[in-house]
Amino acid sequence: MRLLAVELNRFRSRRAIALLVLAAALLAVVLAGVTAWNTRPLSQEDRTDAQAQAALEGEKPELLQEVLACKAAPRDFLGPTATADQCQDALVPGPEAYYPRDALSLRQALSTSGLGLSLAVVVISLMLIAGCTFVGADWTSGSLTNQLLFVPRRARVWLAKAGAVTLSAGVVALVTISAFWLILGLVAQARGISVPSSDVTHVVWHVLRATVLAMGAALGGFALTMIFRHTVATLALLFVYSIGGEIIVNLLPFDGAGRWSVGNNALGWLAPRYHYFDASIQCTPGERCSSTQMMTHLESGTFLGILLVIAVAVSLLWFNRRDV
Amino acid sequence: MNDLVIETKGLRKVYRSGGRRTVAVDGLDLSVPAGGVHGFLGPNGSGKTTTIKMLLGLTRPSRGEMRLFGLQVPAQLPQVIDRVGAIVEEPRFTPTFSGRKNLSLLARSIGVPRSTVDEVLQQAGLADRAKERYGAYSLGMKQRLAIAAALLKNPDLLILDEPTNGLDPAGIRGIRDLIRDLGESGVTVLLSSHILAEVQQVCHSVSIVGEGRLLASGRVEDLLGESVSRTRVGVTDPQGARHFLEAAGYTVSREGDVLVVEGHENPAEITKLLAGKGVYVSELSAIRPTLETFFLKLTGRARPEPTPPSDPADEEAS
Repeated sequence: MRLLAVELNRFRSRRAIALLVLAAALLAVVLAGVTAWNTRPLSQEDRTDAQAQAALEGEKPELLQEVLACKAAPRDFLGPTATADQCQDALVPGPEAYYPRDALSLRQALSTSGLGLSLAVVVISLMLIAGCTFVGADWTSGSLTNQLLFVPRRARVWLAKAGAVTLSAGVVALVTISAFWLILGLVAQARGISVPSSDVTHVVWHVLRATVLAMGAALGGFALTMIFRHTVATLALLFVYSIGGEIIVNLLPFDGAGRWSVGNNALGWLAPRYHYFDASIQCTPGERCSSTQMMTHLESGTFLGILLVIAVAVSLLWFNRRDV
Repeated sequence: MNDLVIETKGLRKVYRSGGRRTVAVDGLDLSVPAGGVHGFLGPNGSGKTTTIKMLLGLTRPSRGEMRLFGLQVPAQLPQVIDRVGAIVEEPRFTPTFSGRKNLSLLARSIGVPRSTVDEVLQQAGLADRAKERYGAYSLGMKQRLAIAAALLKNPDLLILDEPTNGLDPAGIRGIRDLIRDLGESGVTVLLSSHILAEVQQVCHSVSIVGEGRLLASGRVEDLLGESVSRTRVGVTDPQGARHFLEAAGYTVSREGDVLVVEGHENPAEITKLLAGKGVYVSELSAIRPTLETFFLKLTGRARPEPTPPSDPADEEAS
């Protein structure tokens, strides 16, 4: 515990890490602000414009003809239970269709096009860099040698540093990502938007999963840097793996190769229900198949967890055996 | 055997890089007795730092045994490390932390109280600059911080690898006095240095290594006593005197107008011989052997031996 406390102190005292944490915090606030701004309430002018556009659209002859055709055969247009009364509303767009922006929605912010997911990805990346630079600086300055002159049990040193990196990354991710959602929640409340409890549940689970992934990323970055002994070398390798890995996955000659993409697995873990396009799945006409696949949390968690366990095991073994 | 603080037997380290094998330490038998300052000398690349790193668990030996305070290392190193302070190669600390912060973290990692940090900073002459960033320190200050770190544990054994590197003359003197005081207070100091005058001034005993092997070891006076005695002889007829001395079996060389004679038990032999031949001595002075001359002679003698056949069991890639 004493060694863990020392490493936590060392972690939070590093200037580079302080900057990464600051960047994560600023990003959370900025992205929350951007989301709040992009979903700000409509002005009277916005509504008037939308109404005018809807009215203009509703007067188009081809649309009126289509409504008439629908009323004549509603089932052909709107399904077996449709009635003629539904045609007007279904085919003629209302003013909402012309509103310049949507109202704030936590579910939307958590989608793959939402900033909530982007924030999580960036914070996790920053924590990965923090894990790398924490111990990379120790190797570069040579101070790790000094530390081993005081605590020669290498496994203990490795575990203390890994613990400090993992815990700190978890706290930073939890605080920054939670702050983003908290700000959005407060904004929604201030605007009188009721947030469905299912959305809250999705957000809570997302925050927890993002925190776990940030901890894993920081630990993975740390473990790899303990092998390569250089921050830049580790980051270069991860960059090559993430880019090269995606290319290789796309070239793999079997169906379902997209399952092994790091990007798909990371998003599969973070998003509530992540669907991805798998180019390796070739559907022939008449066959019941789809190139759009869903990645479950279990699948992505297992994939990422195995990668992490391999990195940790090799790192620990390597550090114990190699000369310093 | 029990009062040996450091003991190695058949210690060997082979580095492998790009298919090349380098024998850094080759069957080194080293014994450092308790108390006093022990010099560890050798030319660059003779295996001093590798030996120190192996003793401190930073590098794994390819073969051989090592003991610190009678305990086998690296297996039992955690049990003795609290008694060992060390500087290995150049000082290494986190450049963005202050000197005090660097020491405080090391101290906390082994439960040393904060007051000790202040004490060792004072002892190393860094108390006034302790709040400054380590990266902004001069080389001499970095060296002093490394010494302060080595003193943090109040060690029984201090291993110092070139501790005066980068220090100005006053700094060197300060460290030399500190080392001497520590040696006299009962701490065993292993001083690895290539500044032989410095070693001769502070060391009670030395071990000299070359090509990774022990070339000589013992008390400084004893080793220098083993050196061939040389005498400077001034005579009116150097040519004639040289002839008589060589005929008597002495080794004679000429340095300007004087002769340098080797191979005698007592300088009186020379005056007696020359007087008997009618050559009168105008100057007679003993040339005192120094550690430097002894060292140079010894290390100049060391010749690389053929590399032994590869034994996969003992060779370890580094």
